[in-house]
Amino acid sequence: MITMDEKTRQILIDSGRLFLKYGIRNLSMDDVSRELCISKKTLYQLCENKSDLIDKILQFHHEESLQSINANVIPGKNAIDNLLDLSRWACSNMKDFSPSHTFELLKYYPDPYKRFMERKRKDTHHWLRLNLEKGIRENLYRKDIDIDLTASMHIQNLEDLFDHDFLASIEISFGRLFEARYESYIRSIATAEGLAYFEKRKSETPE
Amino acid sequence: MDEQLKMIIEKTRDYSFSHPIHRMSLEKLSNDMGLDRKLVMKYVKSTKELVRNILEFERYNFKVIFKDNDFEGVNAIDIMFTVSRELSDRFQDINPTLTIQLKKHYPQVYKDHIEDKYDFIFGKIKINIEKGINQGMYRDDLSVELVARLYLARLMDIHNPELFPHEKFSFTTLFDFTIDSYVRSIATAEGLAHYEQKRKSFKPNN
Repeated sequence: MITMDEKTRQILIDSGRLFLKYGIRNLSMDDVSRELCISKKTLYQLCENKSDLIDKILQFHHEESLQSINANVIPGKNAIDNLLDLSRWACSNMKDFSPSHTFELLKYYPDPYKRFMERKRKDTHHWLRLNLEKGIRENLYRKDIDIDLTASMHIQNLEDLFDHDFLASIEISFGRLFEARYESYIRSIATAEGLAYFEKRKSETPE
Repeated sequence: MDEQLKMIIEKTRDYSFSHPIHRMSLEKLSNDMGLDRKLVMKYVKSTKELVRNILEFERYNFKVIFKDNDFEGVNAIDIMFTVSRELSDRFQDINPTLTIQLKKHYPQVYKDHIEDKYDFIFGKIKINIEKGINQGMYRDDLSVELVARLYLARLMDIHNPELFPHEKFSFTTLFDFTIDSYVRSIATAEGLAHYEQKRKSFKPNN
């Protein structure tokens, strides 16, 4: 867990937004310091170079995500509600992240991106595993699910939304695409009871 | 297809499972497999051409499933079962490490192969979804294009050994999982009941 002062935190949030807005490759360290109205000295006290800055932004984003998931996914709710909460939270947090950002990170900053993805996959897998076990206990998910494979496949299916050109080219909002992926996931693991609960929840949600 | 060319392709395909593809040459293949080099040269002039033929043969084996089976009037879910069983039977020995080698050493040949293969599958999936919706087996609120593309993405993923290592997950396990979660995610209550009934009597070959 990163412990940091408020100034460092703000620099990581703001520089992350700048990279998303202007493109990761396009923005230099000079641009970052100018746009954030901070001296280059301040920026270089935080990180050694641009690659290190990217690494710190990704790590920060991941830690913030974990804290936010724990705050947003209420333990008292059932497994399907937890998943729906998670999907809504993830969708709103990832909507600005496009396949071109993935492409840039993979091409120009492979090591920070790889570290970020490994951490993210590991934690998401853990979360999904707990959710699957909970759903099975609550009789909302089928007992014959291969938990490890189901969690791994769902993570990959979500990553596809950023990686595959042919998915990115569909004329559909990211929110709808994300929603479709989660609906597909829930239907694929639900019992009859779980399915009925999901459909009830879906009918209550405005289009 | 010419029987002799078919024999060369089948032998080379088996050979490629245990030998690095980039070290294959027509001369080495002729020697190791006891094939007449002149006979091989009659059909292909280079290793690249041979690889292209092997991949074309793979696609042929896949497409022929739809020629051998008359799916007219058949339940869309039953078609999924038939196709998955045929695929499991015909591609039991699929080795994803071969995919990595092909991508690396014959990128254009591999790219052409994948595009042709997935275009074909994409078309068939869309037909299956439309059929299933008309039969009341699949939900009528589905976006055919979106569902077909998402399913295609899954099929591509299970062929990626970096994501799903061959040592950990067999092709049959991954394929069965993919079909199962796909049908469940799009089926109506009637379709799901039919699917579960059918699944009880259907066991994939492991």
